[in-house]
Amino acid sequence: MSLPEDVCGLFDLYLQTLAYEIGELEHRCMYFQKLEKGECFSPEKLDELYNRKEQMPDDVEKANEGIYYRYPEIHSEIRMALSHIGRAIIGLRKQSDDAFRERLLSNSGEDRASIEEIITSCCDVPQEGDEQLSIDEAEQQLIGAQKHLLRASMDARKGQYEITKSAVSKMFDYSLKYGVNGLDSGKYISTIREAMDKGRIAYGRAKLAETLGYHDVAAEFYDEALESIDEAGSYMNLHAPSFREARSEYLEYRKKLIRRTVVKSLFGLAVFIGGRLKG
Amino acid sequence: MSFAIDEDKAGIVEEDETLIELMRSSVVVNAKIASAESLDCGFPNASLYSMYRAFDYIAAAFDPKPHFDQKGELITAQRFLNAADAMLMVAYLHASSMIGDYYKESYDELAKRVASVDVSAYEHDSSGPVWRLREAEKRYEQVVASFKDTMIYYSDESLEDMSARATAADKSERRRLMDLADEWSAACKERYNATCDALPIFESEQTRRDPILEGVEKAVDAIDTAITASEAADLTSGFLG
Repeated sequence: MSLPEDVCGLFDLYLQTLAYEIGELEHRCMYFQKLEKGECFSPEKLDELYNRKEQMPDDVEKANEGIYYRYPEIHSEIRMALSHIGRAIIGLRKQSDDAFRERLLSNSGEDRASIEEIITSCCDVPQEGDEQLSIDEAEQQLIGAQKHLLRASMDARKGQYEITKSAVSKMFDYSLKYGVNGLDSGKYISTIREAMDKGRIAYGRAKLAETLGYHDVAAEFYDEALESIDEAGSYMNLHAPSFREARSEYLEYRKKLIRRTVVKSLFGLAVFIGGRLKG
Repeated sequence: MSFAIDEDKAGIVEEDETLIELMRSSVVVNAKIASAESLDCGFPNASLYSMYRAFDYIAAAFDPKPHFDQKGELITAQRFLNAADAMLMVAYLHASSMIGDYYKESYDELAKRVASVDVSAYEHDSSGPVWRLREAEKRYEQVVASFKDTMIYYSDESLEDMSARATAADKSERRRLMDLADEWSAACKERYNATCDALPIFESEQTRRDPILEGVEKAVDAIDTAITASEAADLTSGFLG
């Protein structure tokens, strides 16, 4: 039978792709949320993030509750997928809308026992005119489940982009305060801006595709957006040592500037007071 | 229907029935979550998250790759399916609690409003709404006592602790807990509905015994009496005079 393979295929799809994407989202959330909140801006943090990417934990398939609360749509899609799989597996019988309406009206459906009673009446007890859900129809349900899983996967990629973009932008804004224009022969700012723009444009296209219902296309563009923002983040990380240098040079320069201004003002004040006293 | 899972693969589900049963449970839980969603009592976050975890465990049961726990022991498909069943129960309990809490809070608000109103005169009429309310309150107290006794182990626990406890419980215990939660939410709903039905009596009693209104009514009566007396006096003097 083809149905069982399809069921296994769906779980396989989840384990091989979505579970990892949720795990990757979890990983990014863990590291970017602090940056995003502005709690600890530093090039070291960025370095930690991009280096840790190569050491993914074994249990990446387990998304934590924190991510769930931030991106509930992913888990809602999984819930829908489970509903479709359930419909395909439990052995539903086809019946007319009127017959089903009657069954619903004759049962409160408010507690476990009564809900189970409705399910049983729809599965195990054939009524006159009921037919077993055909393999084709069951397969349709599994196709429905697959669509929800793919949508969840798309949402996970969107989440990855959004949280990475938010953190990289904050880091970039932070770095702009420290005279970094000279880095990478003056290309530092323009390179990051360019990569971020590319990401933003791809994200916009993905959103549009999503709105119009082209979820596969949307997922591709979210990937592209993520790639671009990662490019910006990695580049920023690559220049972290020079950035550190630029920052300390800037801080040193700032200190000197403040000292000079204060001395100059004090001198001016002293001359002024001296002149008054003399007068 | 068979789910023909490759027997060569380590730790794979062999029992179709378990999977069918789990899927039926997932439909039940889904219906319960929908029921919670239909009330204005917030988003059923904990239920949805638990359901997602259940899905994750079911998928893991189908994974041909062997899984090992923290002690290095092989986790069998059966163990994953058991964990999935436990997560579905946790999802159900959360949804049921949301429903119960919604009615409990709604009742508390109404009860606060009419707390000072004395309706004892209506309590003996077994066909009246106040009597039905008192009965619903008694039933609630009985249910809440057994609910608290059992749920004390689950309350104030994190989702992880709760799911660990649920995983350790056997299936019949899980079903018992689900039924208990249903019983509790049904008692909450019944008590709230009975309060709504009895509200007109509370309100009329409250109005009747309002001291300001009572004073105003007395004053109006006195004025009416004075006017009538004055008119009577006028009429009498006119008649005599």
